[in-house]
Amino acid sequence: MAIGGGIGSVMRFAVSEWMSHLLVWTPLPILVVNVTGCFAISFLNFVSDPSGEIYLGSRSRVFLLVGVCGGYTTFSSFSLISFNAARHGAFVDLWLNMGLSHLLCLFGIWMGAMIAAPFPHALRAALRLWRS
Amino acid sequence: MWRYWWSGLVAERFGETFPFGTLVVNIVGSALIGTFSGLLPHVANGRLSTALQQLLMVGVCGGLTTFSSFSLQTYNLIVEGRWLSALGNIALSSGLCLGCVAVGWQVTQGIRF
Repeated sequence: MAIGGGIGSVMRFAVSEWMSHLLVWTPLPILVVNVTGCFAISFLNFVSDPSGEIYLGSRSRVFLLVGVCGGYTTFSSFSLISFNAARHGAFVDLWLNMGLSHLLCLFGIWMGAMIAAPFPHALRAALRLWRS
Repeated sequence: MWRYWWSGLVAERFGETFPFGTLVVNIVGSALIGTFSGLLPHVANGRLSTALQQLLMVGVCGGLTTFSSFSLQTYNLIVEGRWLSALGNIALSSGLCLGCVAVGWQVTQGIRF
């Protein structure tokens, strides 16, 4: 899990570095990281649910969900960015960051769950197609 | 690892009714990042490399805290119809973490470098 966390942190650093060159809004890189991470954790969580059709051992689940996704996303950087916005009187940035982060991340979770549901069937159909 | 251990410990104490474990690690990580942001630029006469500063803030605090587990837990609360708990989780996490960053940073402001 520590390795997963490390991998997640490196991925977060890479993505936020890449994003910071694209658009100049301070909260954006971490926002992108958190939303994509939420989608990932949700998809992986629901697609490998023990009651479902795709099996992922509990160690793999802990590695991917708690380790990688957990290490990839961050609440501290999000909070620090919010704090700095408040400190500099950038209250639009503050509320935009908080509002967008929570809304878009919950949306990411929902998307992950929605896509995970039909995924096993889609996978089987794709394999059947490939084998025929 | 710490995040998993702490979350598990808190979950055992308070039950799985509310994601207190995630809240605790996020609070601690936020307090840490607040402290680091006020402290690190001054350590060693400002000669601490930006790489090391980044490592501590991005690596340690970022790895300790999590937005994905928090969001997933909030989502599950919503799906269970526990809207008040979901909103409470969002408000409490955001508010307390913001407060802890502020406290961590404010503490460093009183230090003479």
